[in-house]
Amino acid sequence: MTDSTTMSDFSAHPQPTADLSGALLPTEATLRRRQSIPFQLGRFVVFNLRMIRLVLKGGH
Amino acid sequence: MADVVVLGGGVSGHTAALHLRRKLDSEHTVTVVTPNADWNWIPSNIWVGVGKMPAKKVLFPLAPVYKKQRINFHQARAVAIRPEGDDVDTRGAVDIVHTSTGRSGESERIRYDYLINATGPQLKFSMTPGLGPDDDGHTVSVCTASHATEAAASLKSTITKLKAGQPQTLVVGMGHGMCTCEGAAFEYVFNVDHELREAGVRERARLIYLTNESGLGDFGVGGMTFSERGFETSSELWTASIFRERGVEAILGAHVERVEPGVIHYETLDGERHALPFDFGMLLPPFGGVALSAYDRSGADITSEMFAPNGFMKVDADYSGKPYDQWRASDWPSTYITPAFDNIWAVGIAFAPPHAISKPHVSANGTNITPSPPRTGMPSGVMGKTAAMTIVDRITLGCDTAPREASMATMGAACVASAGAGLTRGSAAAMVMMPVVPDHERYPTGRSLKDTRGEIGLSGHWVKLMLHYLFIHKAKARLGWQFIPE
Repeated sequence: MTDSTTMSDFSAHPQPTADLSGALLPTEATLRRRQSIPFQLGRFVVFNLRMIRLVLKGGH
Repeated sequence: MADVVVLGGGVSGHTAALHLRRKLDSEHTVTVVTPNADWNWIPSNIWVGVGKMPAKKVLFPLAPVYKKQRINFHQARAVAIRPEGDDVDTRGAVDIVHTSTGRSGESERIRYDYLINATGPQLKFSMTPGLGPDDDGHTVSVCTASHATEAAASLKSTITKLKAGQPQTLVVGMGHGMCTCEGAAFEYVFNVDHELREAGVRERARLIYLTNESGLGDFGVGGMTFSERGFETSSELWTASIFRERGVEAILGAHVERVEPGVIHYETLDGERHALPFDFGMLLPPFGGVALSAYDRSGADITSEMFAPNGFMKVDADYSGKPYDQWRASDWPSTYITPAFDNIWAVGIAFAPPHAISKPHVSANGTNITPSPPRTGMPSGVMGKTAAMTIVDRITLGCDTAPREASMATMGAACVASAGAGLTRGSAAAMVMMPVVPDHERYPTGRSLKDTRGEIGLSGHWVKLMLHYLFIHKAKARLGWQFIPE
């Protein structure tokens, strides 16, 4: 590993990074819901039910 | 009396062995052959790799579990399979070389009536010069607990430099155009992002995801279609969102050709070659089958008949090499029994897939840059159990009993991709998909919209943590283990 890459390293080696400028950004409300413990407790239950449904559908 | 041998003590093999022992009377033997002394809950290696969990929390010794369960255990590497036996005995046999301290290097030939090949992947760092954590490599890995521990130390060193004001470039992704486990790379890049933020140095770091996927959200399964508030949306949109939100750059359709100290050289689908300077690099290796040969009774080499060129064992799949537009869900195996020998199974990563799941791409230079199909924990466990139960049926109900089936084209999977650890500050992308291999003849989008979902949040972290404890409890064969589904 090097000690530090620098901007000159990158300007000499432009990278074909994907254009994500059009990707959706979550709203503040969405970000709060993602970290809200009461809301996420409900989502935890829902996801577990989804997993149980997968298991039962698969019959394994 | 029957002798059942399981090669491999990972998710698939260990699951098979426990179910075999549970269902078979003691007159029948169950033997596990695996080179590692410990069982590793691999999904949590990600957290070991960022220093959030010590390696001892993802490992436990196998010998005591097998002793308690009355499963014979050889800490050894299987090197050859002799399905027709030899000139001494016509029963099938496996040649093994012991790896335990007291018997290291000792060879032995063990007989079987039924064999399950659950040997998992060989980590082929050597396919990319300079890849990997060993002496001649320049990148870290999270594929094993020890690799992940080294990765955490390297990351900590990088964070120290960032705190000292030195800008750093961190690259996470795939070390070859045909790698699999894109989900693991996704997890690691966002856990690194999370740790950089927790350390207060994220602004000084450039974080790049370098992948062989042609689009974000492919995950080696061709992406997914979700139903979201009355619209069909793609996993590509969903995944791109988190990349933009967290400021992680993405380089797509990349095949890493070689890694030099501080520089990753890669080719992209347009045929252009690039050099990427880096300070910290975690690149996953491509997988192959473990080094196993096969011989007939006379000792003639039949390896190419039983194994695909990549070293994975052929089973009941369509290996005709049909083009992408002719791929079907029915190409995929369901019984995992080898065509030539109906008492041999290959499950988990050990079986040879008929082809990829993702649409294949070839660069302008003719380089194949296509994710290989993942065989994740849930399907691997199901396959192991299915093979075990078929063997149990044969032994207890008769040899003509129809084999049980578990095609990846009919089973679903839950995949939880951590995006940062922490009981109150963590998050994960929690996904379910049904089926794993898309079936466009059955579903317009390839999968059930009702059972293919994804969401990001703190609850996903709780699910991943819960699965960590549940599956270690199950693997240790503790009380009620058999009631925890694969």
